[in-house]
Amino acid sequence: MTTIIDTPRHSCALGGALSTINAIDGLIPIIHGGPGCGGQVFYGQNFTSGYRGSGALGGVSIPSTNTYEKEVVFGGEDRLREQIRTTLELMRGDTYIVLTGCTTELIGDDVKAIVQEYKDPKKRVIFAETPGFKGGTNEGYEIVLHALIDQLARETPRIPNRVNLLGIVPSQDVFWEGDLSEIERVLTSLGLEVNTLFNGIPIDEIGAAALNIVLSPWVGVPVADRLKERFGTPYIINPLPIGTIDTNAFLSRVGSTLNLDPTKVIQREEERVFRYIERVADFIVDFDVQLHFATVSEANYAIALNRFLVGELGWIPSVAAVTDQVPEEYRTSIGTALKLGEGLDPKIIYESDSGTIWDAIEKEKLDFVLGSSLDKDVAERIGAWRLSVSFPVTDRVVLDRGYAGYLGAITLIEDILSAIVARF
Amino acid sequence: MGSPFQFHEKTMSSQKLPEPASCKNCRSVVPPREDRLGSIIAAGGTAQDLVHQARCGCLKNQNRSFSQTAFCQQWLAIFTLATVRDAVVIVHGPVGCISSLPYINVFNRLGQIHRTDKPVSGRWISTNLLEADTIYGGEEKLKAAIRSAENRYHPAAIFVFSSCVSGIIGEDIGAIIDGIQPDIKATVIPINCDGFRSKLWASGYDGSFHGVLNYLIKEPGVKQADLVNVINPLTIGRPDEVEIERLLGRLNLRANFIPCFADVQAIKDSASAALTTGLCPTYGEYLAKVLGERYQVPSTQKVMPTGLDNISLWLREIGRYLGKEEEVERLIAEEHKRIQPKLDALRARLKGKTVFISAGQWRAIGIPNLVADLGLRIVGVTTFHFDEVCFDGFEELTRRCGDFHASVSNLQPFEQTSILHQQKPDIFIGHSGETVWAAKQGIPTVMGLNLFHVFVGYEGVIAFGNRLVDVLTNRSFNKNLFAHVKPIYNDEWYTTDPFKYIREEAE
Repeated sequence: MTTIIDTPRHSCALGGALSTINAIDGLIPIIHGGPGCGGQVFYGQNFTSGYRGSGALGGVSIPSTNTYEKEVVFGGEDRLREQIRTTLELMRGDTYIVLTGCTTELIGDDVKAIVQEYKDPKKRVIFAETPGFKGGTNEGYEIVLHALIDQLARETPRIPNRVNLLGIVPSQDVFWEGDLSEIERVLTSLGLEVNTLFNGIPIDEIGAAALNIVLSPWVGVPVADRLKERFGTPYIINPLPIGTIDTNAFLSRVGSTLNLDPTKVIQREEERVFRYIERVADFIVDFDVQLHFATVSEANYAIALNRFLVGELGWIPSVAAVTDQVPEEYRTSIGTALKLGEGLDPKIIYESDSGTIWDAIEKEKLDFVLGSSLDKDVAERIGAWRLSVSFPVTDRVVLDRGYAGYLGAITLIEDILSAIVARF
Repeated sequence: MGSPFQFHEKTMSSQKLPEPASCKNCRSVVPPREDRLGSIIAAGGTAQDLVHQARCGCLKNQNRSFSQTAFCQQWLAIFTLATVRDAVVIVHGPVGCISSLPYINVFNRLGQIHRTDKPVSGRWISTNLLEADTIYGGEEKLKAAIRSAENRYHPAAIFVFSSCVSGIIGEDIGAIIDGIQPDIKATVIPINCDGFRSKLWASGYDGSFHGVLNYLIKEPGVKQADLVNVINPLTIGRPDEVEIERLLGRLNLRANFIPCFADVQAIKDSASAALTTGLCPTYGEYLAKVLGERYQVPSTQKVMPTGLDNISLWLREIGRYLGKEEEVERLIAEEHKRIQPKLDALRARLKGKTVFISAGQWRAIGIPNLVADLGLRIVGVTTFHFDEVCFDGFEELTRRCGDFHASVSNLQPFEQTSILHQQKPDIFIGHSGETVWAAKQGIPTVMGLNLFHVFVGYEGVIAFGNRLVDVLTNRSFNKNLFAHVKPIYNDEWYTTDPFKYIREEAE
């Protein structure tokens, strides 16, 4: 995190904040920052995530103070007050969130004091400090959720079968929507009501859940901690599962935590997946599709992909480049999750710098690279097949496709094998 | 209250441009366009009002009390140089300021494919400035990034772009570069383009060209009588260049397209060309002007070669400078005759349809001219900014098309939404990013910067006409979209004065 980054695979805190807010209905962002911040991170975080567009309110429609030299010299507080007043007047909505950028943080505008001037409960104004220099996309997601928990969430009675899903960052997980909807589907079939944060359940109710599930080895854990502190909600950390083995284990874990029996769901779903796997087995066997592969992705997908490809497809892993800057304290659990058996442990490289990652990949003997669109050239140089599964993705259009859970595993098999046959 | 800009005091001719970096300590920067050219980003009314105000020097540099996010000059500075083939981009700022490079890389790869190359991704490095760096400075990181670029990629040039953060914390990228240059084989070039320093994203073009002019183009070289510099924006695609090459070829001239998809040597060669012209005067005016001043390469940048009148003028200017007047007249006559039947057929199909155009400064003149050739009626034009670079062209447009609604706006789709709701044109032609909002209003839309289709030259008139026919032939996508999206503005906005939020610049 502290060094330069060649060809980064994430945007800044503001980018993460905006891509998160863009996924939440009815939340209107107001950028208090430079004139190009919103445009840059729209193209650099949303659009480069499988061409995710503006949605209901995004892209260049986002209200922004567009701070110029005058604000940098004289302060931007008056300009912010003006922009909040006009935004409340013009933009349909009931909740507005001011996001600070680098310039307004550096010049020291007191945004907290300004938002407190707005007291109309029908037009709530909150804020989050999201300057790009505070960190990357994942940090922006966490900062926004902290702001929502601290300034918006209400004390509500606990709903015993309600769970929240944390740790999946819209756009940064290119398949966030498909992944979340599959997890929601399987949890719903256990009898749970699922708040994915992005499926229309008001964010105010985030404290009503009986359990928070962090679907990542580390992103969102501080959010779960904050919810535990404020509402006493327990949480489990269970990185995103792909395939029958990990999704079965996930359901068993949630089931045992909430006293639900997942046996029937597991049986039904596993049968379905293997109906398809049996059908594709001829192709896999006839063409000897047991490949040596590398992953270039954030920790969450590194775990999910390696475990699925090794544990269920029977492939041989080489390098797992983990591109998000995982704090030291979470690395042991990632290492444990990637202990896959003799000769089957991928070499884990914690590295955000693409140049360094490409150097490492070029040293390996590889058949397949699961990475981002940025890895096209290196895959070509070493003659490997390739599929874009991690941010940024500019060679695929992604809408509701996902790789998580049972249905996601079927989709992943289709996409991986399609990448191979597409060359024929 | 702000004082009106006085154009006669701000013109290029009256203001001395920065000197070349003949010494190592030169730290010159180009003044932002609002100071250098009196550019404005907020106005609304009619085209004739705008022309009148421009002519009497009473255009005011106004602001908006409500605004939406747009682009900054740094983004356009990067766009200008990101596809130079043997160069590396370094952005000295937080990681977010480089985050759209994978998007720019789409243009880059597509452009290479159109040039029948095997596409290779660009190279870009972020110095990843963090909170601690805003206190202790980021000099070491910038040096590390330059060394990394050199060692890994061995480029001919390294472009170092500044950012809001590097600007506010007072990093002198020029001085840092001077310190490290002796150890680096590549020419390292500072591009001063802090996002907050200009309201005009077009100032970013100047920042990039200023760096190129001061650090790369050093020698006049041996004059090449048939070489014409054609300054090419990234948003004007290879099909357009093919048309330009065809026309110049008929005049026995060669195009040196710079800077997009050029290598460093081609940029250096620009000093030895016989003439500089461009595909967009707004984009290339500073580079063309300074090449003329320093290396006596004459330049003509009167128009974008879009629409018949503009193409003719564009060609005649080349003919005039290079003594090829007769060949040019023959070429124009032949081309007019050649396309006439196709033009007639398109006019019969498109005559009287109403169109609203929103585009960057010169495109906002070029496209209306083109669609007027096709018989459409202009009901309105939004230009992203307005200044002396386009006064003549805009006035000419009003002479040709009569009066129409006109506004000056750096995107701001909220104004556009209200205008379009009230104007209800048959077609909206716009820029990427904003056009989707017109589509959501159910209006048939055409992209004004489509990299797959030619829109300059004679072929461009026909190709663009065909595109307009298509969009009228099947309107179902935008119609269905409109039926299913929710409005984002309060009801009153759709019938309110679209310029309600334009206000005087406060002191």
